[in-house]
Amino acid sequence: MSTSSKQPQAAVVQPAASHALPGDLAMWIFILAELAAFTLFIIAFSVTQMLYPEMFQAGRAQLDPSTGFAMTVGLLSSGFLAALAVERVRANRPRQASLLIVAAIASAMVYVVLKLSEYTHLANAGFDLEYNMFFTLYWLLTLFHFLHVWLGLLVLAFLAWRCFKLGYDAENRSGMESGVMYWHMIDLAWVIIFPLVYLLG
Amino acid sequence: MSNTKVLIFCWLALVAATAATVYFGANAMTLGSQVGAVLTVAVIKSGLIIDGFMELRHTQTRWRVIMYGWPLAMSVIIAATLLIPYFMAS
Repeated sequence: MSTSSKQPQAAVVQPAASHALPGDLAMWIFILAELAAFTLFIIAFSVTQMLYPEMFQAGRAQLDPSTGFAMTVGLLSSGFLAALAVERVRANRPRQASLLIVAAIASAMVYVVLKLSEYTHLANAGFDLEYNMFFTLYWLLTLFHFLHVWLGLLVLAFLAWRCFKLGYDAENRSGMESGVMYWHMIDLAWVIIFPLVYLLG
Repeated sequence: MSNTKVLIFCWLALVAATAATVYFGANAMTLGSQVGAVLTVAVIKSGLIIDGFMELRHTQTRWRVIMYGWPLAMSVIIAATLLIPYFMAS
């Protein structure tokens, strides 16, 4: 028997209802709290850069913008695949959503592998947390984001498993939408962190 | 346009905008132009995530104001801390 024949059938994709927030309100409050925490790190980085511009320019020269580009595309593609998975759940195709979430995890691993390789390169070159103010804030800000990516990957893995077990459908999708909204928040934070750390100044 | 087509458009636009960000970041232009261009693209990318991926284009204005407020506020802070010393020195 094919996997698709086991899934509940639905004729049309139900779009998000007008004026309704996707996912739970509690998740949106959590997202705002997370963005507030990122704000503190971004302000600390920006203000310290204002005080020590030459140090930050020299530190940034050790980073590779093309690696940053590849990491960003990996994360954004992962967000795209996760958003497509929500669409598949709305169409009562949770097994297809499960495959899309697995693809989203694979795409996010591009970011994880490149980030780990950057961390290893910098640590081996001596640019550790105590090297100077730029690298202290570089490690704190990017590691804070990196930990969120790992938490997001765990959430995506849970969603993939739950979709594979037909745990979500068009009528019961709030948990799916909430988990994917958290993943998009991580993308949103990176869209600001990337130019601040790798490009500007 | 179906939501799937909107998502594909947003993804392609995000990849193109990321390439534009790296181009502006590496380009030899004045700091003011570079900061303006890179942060403008960053806010556009944020909008594609907020309205496209998060689908807040369907919801109440107050949630869109809150979510758009974050990248806008961050961009203003980053631009101010970079440009105030630059203009004071020149």
